Amino acid sequence: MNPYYLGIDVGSVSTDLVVTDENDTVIKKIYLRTCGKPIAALTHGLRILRDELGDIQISGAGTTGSGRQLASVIAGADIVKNEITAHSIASKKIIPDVRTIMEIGGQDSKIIFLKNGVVCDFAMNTVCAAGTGSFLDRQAERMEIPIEKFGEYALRSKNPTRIAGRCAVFAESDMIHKQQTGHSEEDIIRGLCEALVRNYLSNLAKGKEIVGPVMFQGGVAANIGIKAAFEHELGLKMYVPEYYDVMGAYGAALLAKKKVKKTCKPTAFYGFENAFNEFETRSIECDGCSNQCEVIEVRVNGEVRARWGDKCGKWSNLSVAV
Amino acid sequence: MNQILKHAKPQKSNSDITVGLPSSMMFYAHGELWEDFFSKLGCHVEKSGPTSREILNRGVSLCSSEVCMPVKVFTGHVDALAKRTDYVFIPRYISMGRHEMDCPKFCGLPDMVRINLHNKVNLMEVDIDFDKGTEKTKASLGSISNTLGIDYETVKNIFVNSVQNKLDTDMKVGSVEPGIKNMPSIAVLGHPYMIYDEMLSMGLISKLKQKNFQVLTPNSLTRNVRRSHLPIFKNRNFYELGSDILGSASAFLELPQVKGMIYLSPFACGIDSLVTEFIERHLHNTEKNMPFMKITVDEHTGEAGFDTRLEAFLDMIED
Amino acid sequence: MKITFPHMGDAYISVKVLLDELGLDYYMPPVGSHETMEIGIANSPEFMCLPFKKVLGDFINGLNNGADTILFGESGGQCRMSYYGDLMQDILRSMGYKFNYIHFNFSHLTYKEAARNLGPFLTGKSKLSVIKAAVNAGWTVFAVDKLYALSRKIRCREIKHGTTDKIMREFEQKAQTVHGFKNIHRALTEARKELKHVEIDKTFEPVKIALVGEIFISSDSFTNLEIEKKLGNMGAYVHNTMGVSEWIFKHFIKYMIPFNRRDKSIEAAQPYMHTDDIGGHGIYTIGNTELLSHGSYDGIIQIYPFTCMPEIIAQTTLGEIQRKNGVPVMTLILDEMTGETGYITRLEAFVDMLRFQKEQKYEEKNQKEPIKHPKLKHVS
Repeated sequence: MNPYYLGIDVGSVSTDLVVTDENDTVIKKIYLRTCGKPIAALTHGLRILRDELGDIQISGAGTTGSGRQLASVIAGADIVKNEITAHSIASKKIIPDVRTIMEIGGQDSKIIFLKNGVVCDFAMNTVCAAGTGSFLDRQAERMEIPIEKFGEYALRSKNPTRIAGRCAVFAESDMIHKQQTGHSEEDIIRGLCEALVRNYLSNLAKGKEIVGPVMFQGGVAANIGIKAAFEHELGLKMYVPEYYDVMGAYGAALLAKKKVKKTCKPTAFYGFENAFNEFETRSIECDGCSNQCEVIEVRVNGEVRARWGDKCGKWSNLSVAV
Repeated sequence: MNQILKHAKPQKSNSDITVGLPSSMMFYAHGELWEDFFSKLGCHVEKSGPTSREILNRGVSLCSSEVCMPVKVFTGHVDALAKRTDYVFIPRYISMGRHEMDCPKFCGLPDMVRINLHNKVNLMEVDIDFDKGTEKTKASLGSISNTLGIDYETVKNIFVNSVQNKLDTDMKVGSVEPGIKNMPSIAVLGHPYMIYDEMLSMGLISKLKQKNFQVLTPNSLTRNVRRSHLPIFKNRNFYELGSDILGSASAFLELPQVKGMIYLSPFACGIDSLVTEFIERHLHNTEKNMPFMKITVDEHTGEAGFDTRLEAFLDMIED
Repeated sequence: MKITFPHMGDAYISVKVLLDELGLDYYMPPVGSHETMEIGIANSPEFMCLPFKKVLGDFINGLNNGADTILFGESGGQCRMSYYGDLMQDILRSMGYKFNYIHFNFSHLTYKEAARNLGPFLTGKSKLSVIKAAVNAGWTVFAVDKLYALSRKIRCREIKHGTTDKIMREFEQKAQTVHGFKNIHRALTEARKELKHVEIDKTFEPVKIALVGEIFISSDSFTNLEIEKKLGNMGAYVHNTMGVSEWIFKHFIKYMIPFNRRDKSIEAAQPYMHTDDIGGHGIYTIGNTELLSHGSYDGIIQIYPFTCMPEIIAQTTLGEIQRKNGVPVMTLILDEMTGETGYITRLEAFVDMLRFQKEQKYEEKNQKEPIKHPKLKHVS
């Protein structure tokens, strides 16, 4: 039976799963909305994989994203890695000499700089919503234009409107103001793309030299308007990889493969059947000391699988296996 | 600075040397002093002029996002001058007098600017630390004398003379400036480079004047009045601008024509976080029910929202 | 008369020794309590820095628990900390509290001033006992710092994950509950002994990270979200340039030494900042970053509370130092809204990056023995 590897990226907006084969080729990718229920999204994804791929052998599993800890408890993982490392590993696989990776996701954005194939600097922005996919979604919805068409609209503009404001709230009010003064939809959308690019660069890349090849990934990379705005601003070509929206999960799969090859241990992955179990989470406020830690507990079919969140280890040490 | 000035031997006569004065930050308080100083030294003085959208954007793009808006704007001003002057003059204000000191950002201002402009600017610095003594100032006057090829004594005398002129005007004894009329007034408080900069203040002062208010600022009062009205920190170290604003707020309370106070503060200003709190507490402790509004602005503030707040405040006062 | 005092990292251990040895009645606010912190935040101006909010919370907690005297040390200079006392007293009094406020200005503390401030507490106590208490407290400051330094060395190399944390946790619990110099001394010795017996991987080469920045946040593990522990458990050795002992040394002991040489780190900062003081410890942040990024450390982390003026100035120069010396510098800005998830991701990614760079350097040197792969630890 051929070995396969599973990569899971649980983010605040999307939960992505990727299955790769021994040649690091993506044989299946799944992109799901997290909708605030990471466990439901993850188990749903695992069930889809089982239905579509049948009973394949997963030899290694890796998790990443802000929910990587939870994902490793639910699915069982050989490696738990942050998004920066996962994205850089995935990008390097596609363009080995990549120098800059730009990622714009639903709720956060990041930039990664590499030199000689090694990350040499990075920046993350998790606070501001104006430079992320959710903000674009919201504006598309408000203007009643499908988000998929956003890019086309932007490219049609001849005279982009200048939208001010780094913060989502101010940018939106400025946009409304511009609409009321009679600017065309195309010009406003292109202005919005340019504002997003400007804000992204000034928040994350200020004072840093951006050298090509540049890779552009994350959900927003599908937007040709944003891509064009970046290329215009930087004077560099932006490469959008085929699996631009699941690069984190792809990186996690690659990392998992590397890890199991090295340790030669059987995978910690619980198997697809595990996704049919009943998962339950609850939080306990510990009153053991003044820290008042919020302890998270995950139960599988009524049995405690893991606990974490305490500073002293009193609760997490009780866990069966993490 | 010594490094910069050492290999910058004067090749031109003084009248050919152009010294740039960024029209931002403490220029609003001491611009005349420095203009006087360099003119008397025989230099050509070039100012960057009022803050434009371009200067603002340039400054924002050059600085890290954490620094306050005034520093970003200042950097934009220096950048505008860098190419058309031989030197850009940036005083390092550490202390302007006994028991006074300045915002730490003034102490690091020349250095921040130099780094943010990637060393592509010739700076002329002068250390002002009057609380501690004059040693450092003398040293920096020495380098200015080297750069300009004017003997040290002359530079020093002109400097002392210019500063003395400024101090004389500042130290004038009197209660309230005679210019203050008895008509409905609004006190506008804040650092001079916030309230007098048309761009950063979104034209606050002109907008108030249009509404037929007399606008009073810390500059409407003599330094003596500002200091004698300090509710706290008398004869103790405090920020110079902070003392100016605190003392003015307390003095304006005594003027019956002052109908309200507006404090214009740049986003996340450290000094203002203290000063506005002390003002609000002081206002609270007095019998007078003085309307007070703090407006926080940064480079992202939209003018429409600003105007709405201002109008609402004025409507409230007129009721 | 019942004294209360605010927390700053592990400083409470020495303060307790001092007060215990002097036989004074005191109440210590809980260490690292979210509840106390939230009370402080609720009563502080929005743009005041995080240390202010935390200290105010401790004071309110202390006064609510029967204390009537506040003991506080502040330093002078351009940093807002010089005015903490003024504003806090005002806030507390307007909340209706009545109390004595005793503060020490560490930037020019004289024996006379100390004696005058402490006078009322010391009536009936022999000069010798006072001196003894002060010496014991001073010794404790440095002993505690040494213990934490040792724990940082052990943690990143320990074989059984969590051993160091457990020893340190037990020590902290003891330090919070026991009284008197003797007992603290015993707890310190025991903890040191235990740490030395922790099984470590001697061949493991951790990535080395130096911590620079604002002193309160750097030394206070509660507000810095246990940065030393987190990095250590990721397999990184952390050197904290800003311990409590450093503070005591810079602000107190240095003034008693007659020949006062210019600090090495101030000297090192000069190419970037042509002045000796930009308020707070900003100049040390610049100097230490410059000094420690010539090969002795793999990476530097600057940490400071949101709106901290001196550190914002310092941050401007760090990019320049990074460009010049090629050692990565990461800045972390903390406030009450900082989310732990994003924080951990940044730390983890930073450590990963440094490790890959280190491995690459070794490979370039054609070393036959590749460096040992680090332990993979779960970060919870």
